[in-house]
Amino acid sequence: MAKKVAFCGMLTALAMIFSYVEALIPVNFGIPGVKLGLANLVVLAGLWILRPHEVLMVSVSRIILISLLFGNGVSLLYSLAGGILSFFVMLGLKKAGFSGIGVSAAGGAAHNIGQLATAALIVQTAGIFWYLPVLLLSGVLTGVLIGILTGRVLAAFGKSA
Amino acid sequence: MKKKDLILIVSILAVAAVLGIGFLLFGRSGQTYVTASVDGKEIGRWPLAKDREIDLDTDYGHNHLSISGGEAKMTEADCPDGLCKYQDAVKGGDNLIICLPHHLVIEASGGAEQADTDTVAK
Repeated sequence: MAKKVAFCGMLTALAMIFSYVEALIPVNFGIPGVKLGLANLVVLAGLWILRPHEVLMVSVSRIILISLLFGNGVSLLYSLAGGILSFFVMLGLKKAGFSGIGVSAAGGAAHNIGQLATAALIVQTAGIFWYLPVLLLSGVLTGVLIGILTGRVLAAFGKSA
Repeated sequence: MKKKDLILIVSILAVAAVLGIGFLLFGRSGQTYVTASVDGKEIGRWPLAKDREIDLDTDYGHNHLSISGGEAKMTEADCPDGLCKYQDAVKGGDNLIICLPHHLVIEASGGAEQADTDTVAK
């Protein structure tokens, strides 16, 4: 148990480092709101090496801690909506037998849908969904990249996604 | 990567493409508004997408504007000639209806619906 808690803590720290590194060196895709989402590598790998509730804890802790350190109340809402929706979509797809790349691509898309829905609620404008196609596309592309990376990481653990 | 992953990815991309093309094709009409102004001052602004009947009563006289099917048309005017009733409907782009006796201009615009208070005051 203690070993598990320590392992989850280390994964949370790793996810925070990824968020931080990404904020320091933004990989700019030239579109506002589009980023690689490196921290999702930890969540995705976690789905294969931890139990679901442990992954959710790691993801939510990472989001709350990063928002407290670098963000604000509003950014916390966006991140939580994206993170939680993406977690459940990825968990469901993994159980349905999809592999890492597919799970990650759908997770990226779901993350962006969650954030956009939150934005629509906050500004009370449905018109913001015009941005959905761009965010779906970018979510899938970054998701595939993260999926490939996660496959490599899991291979080093002796597991396959 | 399995075959079903590829199918999943392609389906999400297909949804994005369909939404994107749909928004591009039908997007503009939903965003345009029709503006009424008298003596160059705006007296009202309504989205073209929503059908409605508008009475425009000013110091100069009475007009009635109908918005339906994404078009705005002047249907009544109590001026002597009533030329505005014969002018083409406003449906986005840059066409106008002008009722000269009443100093009234109806035009399409891209802005937001006129609000009583500004966004901050709300």
